[in-house]
Amino acid sequence: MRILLAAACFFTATSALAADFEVLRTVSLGIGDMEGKGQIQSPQRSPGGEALSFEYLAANGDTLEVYVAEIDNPDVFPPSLKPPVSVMGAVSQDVFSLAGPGERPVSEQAAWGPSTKRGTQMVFAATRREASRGGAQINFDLMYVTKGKRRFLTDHPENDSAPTFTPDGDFVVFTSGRSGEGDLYSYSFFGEGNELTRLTFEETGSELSATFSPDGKSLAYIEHTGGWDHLYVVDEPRELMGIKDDAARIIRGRAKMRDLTPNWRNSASTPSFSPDSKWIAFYVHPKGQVMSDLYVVRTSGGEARLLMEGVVAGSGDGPAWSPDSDGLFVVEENAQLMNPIVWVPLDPSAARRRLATNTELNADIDTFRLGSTVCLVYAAQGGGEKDAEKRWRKVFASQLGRR
Amino acid sequence: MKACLAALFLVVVLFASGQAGAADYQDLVEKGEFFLAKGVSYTPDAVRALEEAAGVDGARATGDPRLISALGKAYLGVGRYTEAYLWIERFLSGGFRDPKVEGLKDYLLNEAGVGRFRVFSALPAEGVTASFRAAADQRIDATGKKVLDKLNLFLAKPFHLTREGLTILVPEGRLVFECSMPLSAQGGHSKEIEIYAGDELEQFVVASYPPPSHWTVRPGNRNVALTWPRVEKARSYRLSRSGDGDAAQVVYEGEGNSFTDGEAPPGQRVRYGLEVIGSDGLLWGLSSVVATALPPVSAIQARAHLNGELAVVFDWEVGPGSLDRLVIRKTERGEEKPVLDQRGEEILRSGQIVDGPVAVLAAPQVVSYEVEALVEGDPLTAKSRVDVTIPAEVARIDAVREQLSSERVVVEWDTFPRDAVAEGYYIYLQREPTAVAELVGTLRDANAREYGYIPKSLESLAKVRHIVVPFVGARFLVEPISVEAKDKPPEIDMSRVLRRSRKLPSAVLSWAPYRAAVRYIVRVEGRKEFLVRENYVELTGLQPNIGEPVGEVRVFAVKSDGAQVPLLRMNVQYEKYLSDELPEEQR
Repeated sequence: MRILLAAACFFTATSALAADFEVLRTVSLGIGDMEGKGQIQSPQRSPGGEALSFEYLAANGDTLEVYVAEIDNPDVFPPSLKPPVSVMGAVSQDVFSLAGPGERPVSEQAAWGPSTKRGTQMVFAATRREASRGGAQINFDLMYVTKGKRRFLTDHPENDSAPTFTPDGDFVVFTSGRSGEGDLYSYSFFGEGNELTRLTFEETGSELSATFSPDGKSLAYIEHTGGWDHLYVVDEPRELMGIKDDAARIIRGRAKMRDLTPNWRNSASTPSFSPDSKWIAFYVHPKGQVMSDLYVVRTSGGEARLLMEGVVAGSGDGPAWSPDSDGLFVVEENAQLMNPIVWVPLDPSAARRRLATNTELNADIDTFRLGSTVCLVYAAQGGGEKDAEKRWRKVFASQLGRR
Repeated sequence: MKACLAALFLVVVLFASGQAGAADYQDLVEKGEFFLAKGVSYTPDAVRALEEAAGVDGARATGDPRLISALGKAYLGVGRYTEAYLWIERFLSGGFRDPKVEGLKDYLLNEAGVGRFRVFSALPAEGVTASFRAAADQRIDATGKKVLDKLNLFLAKPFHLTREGLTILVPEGRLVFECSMPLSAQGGHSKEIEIYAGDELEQFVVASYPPPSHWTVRPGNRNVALTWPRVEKARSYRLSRSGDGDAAQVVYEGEGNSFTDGEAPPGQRVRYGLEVIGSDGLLWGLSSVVATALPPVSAIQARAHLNGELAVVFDWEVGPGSLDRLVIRKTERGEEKPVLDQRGEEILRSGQIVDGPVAVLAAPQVVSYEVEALVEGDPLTAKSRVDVTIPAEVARIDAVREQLSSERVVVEWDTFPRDAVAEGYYIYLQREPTAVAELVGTLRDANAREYGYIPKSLESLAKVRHIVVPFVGARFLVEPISVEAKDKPPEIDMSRVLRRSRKLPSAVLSWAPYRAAVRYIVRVEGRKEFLVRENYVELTGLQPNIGEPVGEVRVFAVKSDGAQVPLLRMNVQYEKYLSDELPEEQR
């Protein structure tokens, strides 16, 4: 019933005027020999536009690796990709691994840091030896890669994953299982002495999906406790990361952490800040529901608002905001329309807009501005007639204009 | 038998220890790998175990890929990137190959976030130390800081540089490189660099070469002679000199490897700096030595004495040191006279002057000799002064003593003054009181007081006496018999004088008065001169008891204007004869 109502509203809306964006063009960004041999997910453009990362799932579904393709000219559309390279390096042997030559470790959950004078920098979760996704012995540590530099930041038998950079690139916050449940830790690149600092100490819950606001003043994460997920935000998290004493940090942390979804009895995942840092969007997967919903809440607090029902949650990335913070681009859960991309304005009175990208089974949208246009990068299959055969996803880019 | 057993025992021990060493090495490598696998916290333990393995068998370690791979990773884990690289390079340059080791090298050079910085010198440089620090406002991440700290520990140990150089792995960023050796001809020891992963930078270091101990430094008189070892393929050398607080002054430029600095300030410590200019025109080496040209001479020793020939013997010796001029002066009777004035190479630092014969006077006199060593530009000179007392001439001979025998005669005498001097002494033998003495000896020794001889014949020793007469030149200092003159005409005849005094004058002279004469001079040649008023003179003491007869007696009239008119000349010669030939009353 809810679905029919939503669809009706949607169609009512689309029949009205004042959709905000239109697709100017859509292109497939070639990834060379990799196409058709595995699935693409989570494409992300680096903040400076110098490169594009994506996760590449092997055809057998066992191996997942992060790849990076340099972009020839960040200021033009479509971006022209150079042949992608695995972030685990071109060397046949990972020097930190005791595995033999030819074996491929797993890498995922890439997070771009701010570009530096040297170029891009990235942190992702990776195994030290060949591993199979879902295998019992898999262990992730965080690896840092920039031009001329590739090293593990952490080394622990328990998993370290889901990294996110502070906007200035001085820290990486991530979830680690080293202290029992999943807790948030920060890694300081310029710390004196111990680079790791534990941020959360919740004994009965796990803290996941940390993300920083673009202005660096807030840190949002999902607190998974008692079967439910709550969205938390930490005010001025840099202050917390600078407290050396654990006890003092615990006390101070309690004062700084705010539950933006109190009394919530729902699931939640992958929060993302609006570019102006004023809003947080996140996915909710209601119990008993197959699809996910899109919610937003003010960073300063307030009631979390349902923005759209029936969306496809990203592989690991949060909802994609427009560069102007006035709405989001999400994938509509619509088997008939092959999961189109939809523009969802923040203003509830404004109309949503399905974007005619001519792509199907869209997923994992990333947005960026190019001049006066807004561009999307996402994974999708090519357009055309519905094809019963399973087709491999590619990386697509669409350039949008304001209507 | 025992020797064989001992040898066998030794062989067994050596074999066993070799086997034990091999086992130790293997155990240590495995131990290192074990610690490596345990994780980051155990990496220092892995380093220790693997370094110990390398210490047990260094030769084996150098070519063992298993150890190299493990040690390389362990060094990576603790931030000792350069040491990991050096071990890997040594392994690979030994012709060994291993994919893990090569992978490690690839990681180090391309993915460890370090750049290569090669430090080298054109000449062998020993004892080099260096360090890196972040430039102002440059942030280095925690890993980079760890690498930097470990690198500085490594570079703090003195190392050796050649053209091949030392490759250092340096974390990214703007850094300041500091080295104990200068980095350029301007002498700076630090330089800011900007380096990133994959970069290869080079830094030339000016070697401290040749070592100061290889120089030859010879300080001299206002100069320093320097020689340094030739440097192969060096184009030229540039030598400069500097003193305390003074700017360096180039004193030599050329292809030769020696130089004598003739302008070195005496006694002052100076530093000579040598620049070796290579065939490429660059400064290859710097070296320096400290030298001191001989300081101004500060001591002079001088001695002087009067020898037997009435000459002053003056000795001097100038001490070590720089010297430009030597001056010797004599002061005699208040008058200063130069004796010696030498300059430059002709200066005699030691010598002797025999100055004489000196004039002997009736009173003692002091003659002073002063020697002065002069150094140009130095107000202080070395001086030494010696006074020599020239005794008075002999006034008389006292106490002649004789030891007489038919075989030898020894005559001794005293003089008055006691230390008086003469040019020499005549010794006469008078056999009888009235006999003319015969000369038996001549001593030319100013200080003589004794004479011995073998007599030819001495019939009777009782009446013998010796007469000692000192002389200077042709002048007797003492008259054995004094000639006296009396110009008063006698009032009685000579026979009555003889009866009364029993001593007649040697000669009585009278002459016709000279009208214009105011006085008369009576001169006994070679002995005395008398001034008499009358035209009459009685001379006593004419008959010498020594040597040759008198010679001439001359008389002159002295006019009022002082002119002398000869009036009379008498040649007097006494023959030698013995007393027994004289009448009794005359003996």
